[in-house]
Amino acid sequence: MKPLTFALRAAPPQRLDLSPLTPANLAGKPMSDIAGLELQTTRERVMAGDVFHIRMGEADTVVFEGGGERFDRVGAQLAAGTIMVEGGVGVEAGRAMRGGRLTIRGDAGAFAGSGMKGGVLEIAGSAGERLAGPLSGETIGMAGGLLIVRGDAGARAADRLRRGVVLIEGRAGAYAGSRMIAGTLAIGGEAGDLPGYLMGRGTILLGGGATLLSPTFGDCGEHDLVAARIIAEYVARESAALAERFRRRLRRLAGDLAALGKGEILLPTA
Amino acid sequence: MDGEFVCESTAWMTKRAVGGGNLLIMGATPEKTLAATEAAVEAMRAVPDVIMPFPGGIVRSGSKVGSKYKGASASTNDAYCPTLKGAVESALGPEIGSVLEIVIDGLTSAAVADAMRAGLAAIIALGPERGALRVGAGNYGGKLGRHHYRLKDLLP
Repeated sequence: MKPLTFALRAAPPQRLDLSPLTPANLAGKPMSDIAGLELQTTRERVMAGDVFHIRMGEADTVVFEGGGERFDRVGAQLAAGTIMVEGGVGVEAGRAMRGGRLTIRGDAGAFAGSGMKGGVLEIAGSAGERLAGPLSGETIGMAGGLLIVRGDAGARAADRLRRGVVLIEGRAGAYAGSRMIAGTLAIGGEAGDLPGYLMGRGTILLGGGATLLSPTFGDCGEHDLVAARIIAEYVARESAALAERFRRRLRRLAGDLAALGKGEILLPTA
Repeated sequence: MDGEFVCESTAWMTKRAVGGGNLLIMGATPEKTLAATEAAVEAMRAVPDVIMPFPGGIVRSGSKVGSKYKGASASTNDAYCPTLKGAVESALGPEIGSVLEIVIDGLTSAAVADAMRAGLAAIIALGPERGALRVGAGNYGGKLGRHHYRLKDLLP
């Protein structure tokens, strides 16, 4: 089955809103309609046909050949089907997606996976700040689904996470899992300062520790946790390296005791 | 569902019976703690007039008397939860990684005391290397009932 392909002609003259280019919105449309979809974010009009050379195919799979940090809102509101980006993307990739799979072969900007409720978002490179987090004024961040970052993540990854799993194979910036409501965040490398800042519930695994742990977490000692082994089984499907860390003996820190304090940070022992 | 349901149509009642005698067995790992607890249950089963009402005689999620919620008369025995050591006022030291409980119901107070004595002897015989590091009992500030069993008096 041939995918519907958008091959980049040249770097766009302004930031683009690529949220119209989802399988659901493209299905059944002729080439001329697709080429006429407006993508501009300024008063200068930019249509899909101006930026991309379009090769028609089954809209169930959408492929972007080439990307860039001006490609905003790729896969926003995605509900089903697959979107693949052979390159990097800008802000809000996979914003509020509900299903399907979005794969980004490069880096993603800020707010990737923001408010997602389902589906799988995989970022092969690194992600910017506030991965899976809420936009200003929103009370919850990601509320379901699976988000995988193979590289590093910026500050406040999984801010206000409500449900779902966020896996970061590399390092994370400061305040990872800040204000978490529930859900699971796993970080393979070292996290920045104060992971789990003001978290209420949920689980954060710090595979490589953190540059500074908050004194408002209580040390509960080292344990062989059955729950962690169950999580490892799930995580192993996407990341063998992270699953291995969940299978080790884990030091449990309860907190954030400055907030509700029913969350936990798990630190694998050597 | 297996075909028929069989039970006593009438049962006798005694007011001398005691419910809720207990031992808290504390060990370094779940494996060692379970070994000590199973040894204790086996020894206690030889004592007449008592039952250990939980599956296998062992309580995995022990409770305490009282709760912060009005509708609940019992809640998690948080002071003895190894994974909550850093979050609550814990009764456990860093060496304890697992706690199991044995609950004993007996026809008389003496039967309950005999069972606890037999259980303690089995745990002590197994020793701290293979079994438990510490044994306690839930008293809950005397709120569990009028019968009190002091472990030091029950030592073999």
